[in-house]
Amino acid sequence: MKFITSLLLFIGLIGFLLLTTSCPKCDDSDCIDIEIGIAKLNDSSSMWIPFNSYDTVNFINSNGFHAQFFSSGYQYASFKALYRDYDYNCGDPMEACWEYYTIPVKYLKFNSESINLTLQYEIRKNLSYDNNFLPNNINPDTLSDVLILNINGYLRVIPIQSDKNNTGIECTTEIIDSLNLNNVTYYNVYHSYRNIITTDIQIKGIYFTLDKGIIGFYYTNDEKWYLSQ
Amino acid sequence: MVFKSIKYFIKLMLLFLIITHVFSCRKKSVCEHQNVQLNLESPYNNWYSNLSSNNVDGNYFSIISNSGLTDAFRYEKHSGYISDFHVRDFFQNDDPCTTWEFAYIYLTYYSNIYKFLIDLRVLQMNDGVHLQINDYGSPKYGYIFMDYNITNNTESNIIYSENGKETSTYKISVDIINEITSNNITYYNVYKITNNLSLNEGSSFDITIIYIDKDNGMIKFEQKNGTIWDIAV
Repeated sequence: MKFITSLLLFIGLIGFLLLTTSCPKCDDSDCIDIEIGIAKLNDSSSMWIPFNSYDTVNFINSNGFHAQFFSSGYQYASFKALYRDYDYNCGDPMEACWEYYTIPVKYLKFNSESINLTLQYEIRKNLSYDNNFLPNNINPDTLSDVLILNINGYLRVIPIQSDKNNTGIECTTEIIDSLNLNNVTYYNVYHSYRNIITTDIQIKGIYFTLDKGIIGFYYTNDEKWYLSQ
Repeated sequence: MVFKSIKYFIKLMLLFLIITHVFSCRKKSVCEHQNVQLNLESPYNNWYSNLSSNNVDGNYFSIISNSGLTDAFRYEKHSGYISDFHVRDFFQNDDPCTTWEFAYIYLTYYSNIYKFLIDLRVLQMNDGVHLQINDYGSPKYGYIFMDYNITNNTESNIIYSENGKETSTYKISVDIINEITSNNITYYNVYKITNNLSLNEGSSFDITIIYIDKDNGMIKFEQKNGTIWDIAV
């Protein structure tokens, strides 16, 4: 009996030693990320969505289909980005592992009752969601903004305060001095398109002006949509 | 004292082993497990034969609406067997000794622009051949499931998701249309499937009617707002 008691005590002691001296667990899930700032949108960027909260626009396509679109009010969202300063110690489970900036996003959606098509304007920082680690020497306030035009998931980008599109969204943007669409001449037109070579039907390019917003868009099969009065 | 405990423990273990053995033997004698594989009976094993199963990027159809809209349907075709576990929503397996594998031919369609997402399945089950439609692109319900037993000519109640999976009081209606034209091609003996849930309670973009040709799959469909889409098969 004395032997069994000693054996049990010995096993307990070994277990206790194993628990207390095992390798430290480094688990990211225990970390608490710390917000170190807000990468605010530039004040002047708001004018790139030239609409009130509840506006109406009309479009007609090259086959004669007419649709009225209604905006549903400005919406705001934010996401974590620009991560830096990862804490590798991971000793204290309450210690911060990542420092990040909050990135605000402002957007306005237009929906139609006659077609399942959504026109969305979105302003956010000119950076990629995928690779958004920020070197310590860069101030996020100096980053430019972009306008992202989103038609049913087809994204086209217009950089604001910059010539470069750093969003990772693949497209080309050019400025056209004047453009005639459906017998209306527009000036200083932003044309954002993707060079899709396909016989498939997809949304290819979008035309935009600062005072009217989206003035037209077109598909790979040459179907065109025009802003109508 | 210690030896007495060990002997007692061994006796208990032996008793446990004998009992578990007896029960496992009884189970074996009652239930001999079998796996039943059902092949699609003719002519259903040849459905959708005009569509390629080579699922590459190039598989698509243009679709054109009567109101002047265009889009493209990408499609994939698969065939194989599905286990009864995966069709438990509509198949009750009352025999615990039998597992079933049902042959199917599956077509999935998804549109590039206007977010239609539909699949059609012809499925051999033990009570006959079923034609099933999943509409994953319903703006109102998100997901709608329709089932028609071709062999017995019976339409099931429509299943849809609103707060979880719900069974509607509406059934689908199935008619065979002798002759119908889509994109300037005439098809014969086409299945017209009417989704009475969407027809009565859906939103304007919900699909209400689908036309299925046995060789070419979906050839035409209609939305509640009256838009009719021809598929350029």
